[in-house]
Amino acid sequence: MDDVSIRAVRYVFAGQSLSVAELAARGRLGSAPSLLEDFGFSNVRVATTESPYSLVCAASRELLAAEDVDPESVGILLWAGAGAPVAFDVRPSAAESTSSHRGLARFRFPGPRLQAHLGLTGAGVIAVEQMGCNGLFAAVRIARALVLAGETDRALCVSAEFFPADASREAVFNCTSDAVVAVLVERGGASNRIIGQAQVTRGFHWDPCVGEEELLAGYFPTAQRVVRDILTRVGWTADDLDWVIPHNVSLRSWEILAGLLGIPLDKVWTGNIARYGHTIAGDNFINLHDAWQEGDVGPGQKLILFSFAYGAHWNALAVEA
Amino acid sequence: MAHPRALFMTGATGYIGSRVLAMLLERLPALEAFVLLRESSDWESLVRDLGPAARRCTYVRGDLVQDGFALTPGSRDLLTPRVDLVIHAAADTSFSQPLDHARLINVGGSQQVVAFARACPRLTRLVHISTAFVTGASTGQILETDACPGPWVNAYEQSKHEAERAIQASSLPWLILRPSTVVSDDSSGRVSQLGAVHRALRLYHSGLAALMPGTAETPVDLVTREYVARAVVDLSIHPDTDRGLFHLCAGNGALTLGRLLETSHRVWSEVPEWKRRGIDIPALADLPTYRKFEASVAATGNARVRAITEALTHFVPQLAYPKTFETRGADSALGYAAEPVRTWWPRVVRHLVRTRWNLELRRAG
Repeated sequence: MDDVSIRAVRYVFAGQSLSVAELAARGRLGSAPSLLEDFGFSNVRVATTESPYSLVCAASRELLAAEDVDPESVGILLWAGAGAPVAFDVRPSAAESTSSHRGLARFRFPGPRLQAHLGLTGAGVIAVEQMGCNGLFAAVRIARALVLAGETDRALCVSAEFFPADASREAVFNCTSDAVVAVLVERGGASNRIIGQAQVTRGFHWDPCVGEEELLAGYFPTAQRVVRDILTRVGWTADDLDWVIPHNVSLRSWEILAGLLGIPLDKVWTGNIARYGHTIAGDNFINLHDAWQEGDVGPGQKLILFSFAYGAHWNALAVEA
Repeated sequence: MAHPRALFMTGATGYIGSRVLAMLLERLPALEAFVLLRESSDWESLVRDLGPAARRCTYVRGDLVQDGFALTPGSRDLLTPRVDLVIHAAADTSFSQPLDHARLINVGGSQQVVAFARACPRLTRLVHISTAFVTGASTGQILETDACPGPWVNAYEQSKHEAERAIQASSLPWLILRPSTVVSDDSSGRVSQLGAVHRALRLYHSGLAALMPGTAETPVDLVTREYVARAVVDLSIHPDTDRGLFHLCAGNGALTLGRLLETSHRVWSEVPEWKRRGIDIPALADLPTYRKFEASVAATGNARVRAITEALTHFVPQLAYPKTFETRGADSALGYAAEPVRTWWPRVVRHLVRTRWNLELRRAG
């Protein structure tokens, strides 16, 4: 059987919820709160006492228990996002991160620790870095390829990335939450069959501190191209789509991208933009989970998950729900 | 109709007008030309460009928008009894100006030209150089007889439409010539004057053009100055054209927007450094989506991107109104058509890159 599916998704957000206005009052935004509210943002979650690792552990444990998965049946563990040692730190500052990178502490990797912690004794650990907000896309893509290659029947993909303590919560007019996501990918499966994927990386824009205007200008054309490419590749048209499962960036930018794709905005599942804002860990998978939970997505529906990440990466996944 | 002997011309120092004047003087060795100019410095550069033919040109100091061009009585008495051909090529071609400003030169100037032409007893033809885009937001096949009910994309288009009405309302033997967008000196691809299209291309080349209105199938009608100038000359002295309206356009030889962008991308990709940047072809949007993009850019406060988008806003929305200009009348009267855009467009984009959008030419000049 050549089908590979996303069997289950679990996520955990950091505990503290702050409104856009509260973030502004604490000096954690670059733009006026009214502008960000107009762009669809309302609240974000900010870590205060949690580390990325502690939340990944909780999300993964919950996922395996809820799905009644034997930990030893997981053949691959893919860790995306925060690496050593910040994955273990609560609200690390830049100075603390640097100091803890000295010596053997730099080899205290969170992926192997999670493998041991969860009893995934049969799982090889692979870490995905340099993918920004698309780390989980890359992990799921690798998991699917490894399943298709016959290396395993089941992979656990986890993604965790928090903003540094006291850093601005805004990136390019998007408000960002701290969260972790765990995704179980396996052979076969009754729902969320991965039909295809597409990725464009434009390494010319590896440094987001340089040429920001050019990168922003390139966002829409390349987004349009990536989504059209994947539709062509899987033999779907824009009219066939039941939902676009988005990354939680500005609602305005989704209005524009939906227009470019010829997809009505009400087919873009935007419910979580106000609720959580953006996450680096993996908006699309959080949204996929919630769209199912809220009864918007149902069996057999055609979905496109699309996301952009600094790097610069554009990723899309075609999924049959 | 015998060949004209005395030409009065406005806009003789402009991009199109200067070439029309040079061609006419070359074609008609007995022609004497009077050119209306505001500044003597313009005259000096015109003399330089015309060479020996400048001996048959006379500089008439005046102001297009003033009553009687503010000519001295002596100048007026010299001109009106002799002039048998008037070519009105002067225009304010800025797309971003408010309507009042655009009307000042484009409508007011045309009214003054009509008044002057009326005073010329030997007048055989009044040639008005208009624009194909007086048709504004019309779509589909645009006939050479079409009236233009509006609306228009910018004040330039509307003011040129109103200028046409002023010319047509006269009882004079008028010819209205409507070129589309002139983007190159000739089919060699050389560009000696940059316009809105070149600036938009520069943004595209720089990776700063995110969205454009239109579809891949939208016709983009472009012509060379050489074609337009030759057609203006030929129709101005054509024995059989009386009143009439002609499209000086690529017509069926227009390039589609998709092909234009792809061709430009392919040509620029010949340079490895450019190809390495991975710049995508701008996304093509319907007008509502494009307007949302403009509004979003206006709100986000990135000064450079905002300035770029504002610069395009008076021009690129025309692409949201796909149209093909009929050229049957012009082609038939001229005996030739504009060269299809696809044959010379690659040379234009190559020229722009090679000269870095004429930066080197400007430095040399």
